[in-house]
Amino acid sequence: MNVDPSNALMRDAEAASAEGIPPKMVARSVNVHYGATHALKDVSLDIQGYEVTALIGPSGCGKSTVLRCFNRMNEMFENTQTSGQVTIDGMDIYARDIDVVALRARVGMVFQRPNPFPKSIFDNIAYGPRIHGLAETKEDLEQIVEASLQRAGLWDEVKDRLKQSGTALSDGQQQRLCIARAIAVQPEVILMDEPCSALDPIATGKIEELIEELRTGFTIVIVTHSMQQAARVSQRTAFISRGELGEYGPTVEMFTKPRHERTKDYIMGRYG
Amino acid sequence: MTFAQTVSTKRKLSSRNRADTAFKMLGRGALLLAFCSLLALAIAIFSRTLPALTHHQITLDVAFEPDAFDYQTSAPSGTDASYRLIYANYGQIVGRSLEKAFPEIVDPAEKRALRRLVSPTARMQLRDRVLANPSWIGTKQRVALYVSKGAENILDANEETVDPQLTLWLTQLQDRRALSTTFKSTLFTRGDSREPESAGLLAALVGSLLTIAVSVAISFPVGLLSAVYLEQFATRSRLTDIIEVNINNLAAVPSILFGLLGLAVFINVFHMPRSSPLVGGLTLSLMMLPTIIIASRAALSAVPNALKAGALAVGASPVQAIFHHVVPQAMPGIITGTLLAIAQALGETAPLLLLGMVAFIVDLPSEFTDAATALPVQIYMWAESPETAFSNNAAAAVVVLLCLLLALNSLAMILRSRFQKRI
Amino acid sequence: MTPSHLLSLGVIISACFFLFARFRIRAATLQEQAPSTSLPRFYGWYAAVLAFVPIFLGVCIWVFASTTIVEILLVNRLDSLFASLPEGGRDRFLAEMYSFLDGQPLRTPSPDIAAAANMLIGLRTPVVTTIIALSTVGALSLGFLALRFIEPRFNAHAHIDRTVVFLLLLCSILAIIATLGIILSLLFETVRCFEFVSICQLFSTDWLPRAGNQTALDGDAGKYGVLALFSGTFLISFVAISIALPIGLLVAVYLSQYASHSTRRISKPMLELLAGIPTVVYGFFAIVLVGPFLQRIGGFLGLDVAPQSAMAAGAVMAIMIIPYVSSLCDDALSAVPSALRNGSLALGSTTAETVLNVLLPAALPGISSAVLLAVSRTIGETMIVLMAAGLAANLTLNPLASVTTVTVQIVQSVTGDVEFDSVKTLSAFMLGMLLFVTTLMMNVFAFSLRRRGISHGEV
Ligand SMILES: Nc1ncnc2c1ncn2[C@@H]1O[C@H](COP(=O)(O)OP(=O)(O)OP(=O)(O)O)[C@@H](O)[C@H]1O
Ligand SMILES: [Mg+2]
Repeated sequence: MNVDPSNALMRDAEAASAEGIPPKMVARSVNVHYGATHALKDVSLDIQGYEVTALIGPSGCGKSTVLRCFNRMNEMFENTQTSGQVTIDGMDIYARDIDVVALRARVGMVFQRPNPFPKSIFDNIAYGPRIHGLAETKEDLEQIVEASLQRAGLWDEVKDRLKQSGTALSDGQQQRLCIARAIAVQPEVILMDEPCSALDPIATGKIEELIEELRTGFTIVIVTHSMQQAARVSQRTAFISRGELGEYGPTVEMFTKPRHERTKDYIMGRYG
Repeated sequence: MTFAQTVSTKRKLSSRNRADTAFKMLGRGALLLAFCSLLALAIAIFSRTLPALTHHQITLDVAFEPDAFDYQTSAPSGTDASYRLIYANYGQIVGRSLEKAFPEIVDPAEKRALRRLVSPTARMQLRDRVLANPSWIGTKQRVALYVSKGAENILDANEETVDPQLTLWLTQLQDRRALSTTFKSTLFTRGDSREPESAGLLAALVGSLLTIAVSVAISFPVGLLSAVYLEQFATRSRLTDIIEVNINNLAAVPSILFGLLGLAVFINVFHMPRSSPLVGGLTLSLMMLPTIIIASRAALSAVPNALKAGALAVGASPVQAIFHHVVPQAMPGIITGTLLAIAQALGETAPLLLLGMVAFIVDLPSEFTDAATALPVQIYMWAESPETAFSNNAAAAVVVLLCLLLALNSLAMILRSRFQKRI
Repeated sequence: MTPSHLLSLGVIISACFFLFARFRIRAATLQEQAPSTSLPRFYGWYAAVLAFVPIFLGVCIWVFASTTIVEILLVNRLDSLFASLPEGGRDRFLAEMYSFLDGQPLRTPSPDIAAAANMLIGLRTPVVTTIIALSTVGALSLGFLALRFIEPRFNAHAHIDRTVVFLLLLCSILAIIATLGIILSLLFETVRCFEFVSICQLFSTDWLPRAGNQTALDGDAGKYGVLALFSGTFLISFVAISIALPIGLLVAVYLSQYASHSTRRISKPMLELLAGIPTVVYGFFAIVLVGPFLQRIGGFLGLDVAPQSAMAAGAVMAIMIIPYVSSLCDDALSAVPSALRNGSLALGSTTAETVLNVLLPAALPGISSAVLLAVSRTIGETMIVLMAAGLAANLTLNPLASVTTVTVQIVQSVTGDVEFDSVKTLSAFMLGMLLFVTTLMMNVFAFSLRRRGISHGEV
């Protein structure tokens, strides 16, 4: 890794990986253009394994774009151009011979609005394992579905109605279904784009507990608009403003003594 | 002054309101006129359907005298007993029964003229009855026989030249309550015929179904797949612009030109069999294509993007995401569009005329390469006939066609509302 | 063996390769101890698709081109015979031979024709056998080639995906081919038509096409003046529009401005019903009711009405396009910004005044476009005029007279015995070309008008 030591942000990142464990995912000088819009400017970010990293920042600053860089979902949109380097375990995910399908099996994603497939709860979870051939037999598949739902804390609520449509659940349940769906493919990283913004406080609480729980098995990157949520669930926080990485460090430090004026203003609610 | 002004304004206001009401009435009248024409159309068709669906019958006392069955003196060797029944002189039996029904007629010429009351098929009717009940030989039975075409015309009050003698006899029979009507099933069980009373629309119906089968087999997959391409994969380019403009223009091309295309390409260049459902179906499929593509694109673009994103996020390839999730979700809309396209193609006549499907088809077509005709073309052929009975058949065929179209449209409507409820 | 048998053979071969390939990749992953890039079934599909391509091409060639190939071979063999025939004799010879083969000979075949027909039948078998053999060999070799490619690092899934997208692209190109086919077939035959008919001849009023054999006899190709045909077409179209436009417009205004919700809910489907009725039914309606009715009224008024008059055809066509016109006018009216309407109503105008002074002027481009589209519809309409208008070309402006139209003459020229070398048949394509150009121009103009109307409305 070629790191320019004079860059202050880089030093933040270095400091973050204090214990010397190599980061799970690394973004270096990433630029994203949507047509004429320059959405991300030279963003570099390390995501530490088995931690929750929160991305905060004002609306439209590019948080979702950063998130989508990690599983190449930006390519869904027409006229998107991405430059720079993003690696997972040191492997460049934008290299030519990379299979996006395999990448997305390693880096799962949960969206702002719950988007279960209009199929049964079982099929929602089973879809990923099926297309990746993770289950040899039907029993295997059932086991994966049960384990994923257990892990997402939804099993007890839906175990009697697995044949029912996934869209018939409540919003909070739907979002946990989407998390279970992401877990079912056994990814290494889970990206969450404002997973609680469509939910009420109780459902939000459940998801936050779930995230805390999931940290033991997965690396999580979460975009959130709620400072409290970032403070509650994350170990590290990155503040993004106007397509640039404003500040990045351990969450505790960020919320107690932010280094930059802009970060401080945003956290105090004076800017956004 | 102010008072006068008010009065004049008031007067003006009321006249303006009257003008408004008149305008409204004009609009209502226009709407009513449109409905009246629909009503006139319905009356013109339904009033002619009933005669086409019924047969008049004369009930006669028929004596099955044994001598009529010994008419053929020697049966060819190797034939069984039914030979005697099949080749009996049923004409004589019919004639004698009619003479008995009108004992007052003595003139031999008039006696012979009596036979004009019943249809030539009456002999076959009698034969079938006797074959079913051989014990009737030597007995007397009351049997209902079909009336002749001339008698049918008089009874249906068709505008044909009328035979006064027949009219007289028919009124006499009517007074004796010897006339009745039955449902004419031949219309639904036979192919075309030179005689209106034995002409049926089944061959045309089968021809239509074969044609539609070919056209759906081609236009549905091709239309669906190209809609998927244009809606989901194509990045805007020169090529997609050309395709897009093309599809819109194709939808507005007069249908007869598709017939010329089929004639020049499928028949002249590829030498495919003329008059066949294969060629007709290929040609109609080109006509259905734009309708299906436009409807499918609308249905596909209505599917929320989040669904595709969800599938991509668990590692589905774009092709998988679209065919596993987006297309099934859009399917009701796509099928609705296809049903409407089928309805359009089912009523299409002009291109089929050019492709030679305007043939006299008696036997049911069984293969895609057989000579065939289609229901609307059959309507056209019957409607052009100067005989009123054929025109009535055409009306009945119109009713069948409209029923099919109504069924297709209702199916489309049901699907659409189901789909809307689900979202 | 028929094409469907070959297709089934292809399916069987592909299924075998599917199983082979899946087996092979499983074995390879076990052997190399490395997981494969894609699931085994994608390797199966890869081999199966590759093996199916030659068979599919073979079936297409068999269905579409085998007759042509056989004919080319036959023509090659009979080169010397054809050299002795007069110009155009070859086509006639072939046509006669085909009708002999169909079992409907035009006249008793000469021995040459019978011999050629036998030779043709003899050629069919080797051609079909070659197609079957080539496609089967192709399928087997491509299948085995695919098997050689298969190894764990080979990304079969990506290849399959690319193939699918390519297939999708092919399907959408088919839509272009359809249009291109129409244009090319019309153009090609039109050019051939002009070998016999001079362009100046078009601008006369006599339309008397002659069938092929007659042409050969006396060299008279007939008369091909299209003026009377177009005058008849536009006369009927004019009658139809002058009835349908006021009614359709009034219906649109009434339904959008005055009618209650329930009236609208009933009327719209009724109008759709009217729009969904096939044109042959309207033609029937014209024959049994409208034609005789108009004639009777004419007799009552002392007017001379032809049994098949432009009036009857136009009136029935008007009924057919009323729903079309009213829905287009409805679109045009609703494209007018509601602020304009509300503003006028707020000034104290009655609804009628608002419609006449504000809505209609603002919707004028949309309404003109509706008229153009409707005219283009009536010009291309075939069945109603075929059944309700006449056959004889007649240059007149009298709607009560019998006229004929372009579409009627197209049908007349190509029904019955079609010989592709006769001027009469070719003239149908020439008329088709004129019809295509006329309607296309109207549609393009109408769409540009509508676009202008909408952008104007949004300002
Ligand atoms: N598909 C797209 N096409 C064009 N521009 C886009 C697209 N997606 C995002 N943008 C632009 O890129 C910039 C960053 O967008 P992004 O969605 O990443 O913001 P965000 O931080 O997630 O905002 P929010 O908090 O509102 O979700 C915005 O200016 C947006 O307008
Ligand atoms: Mg966002």
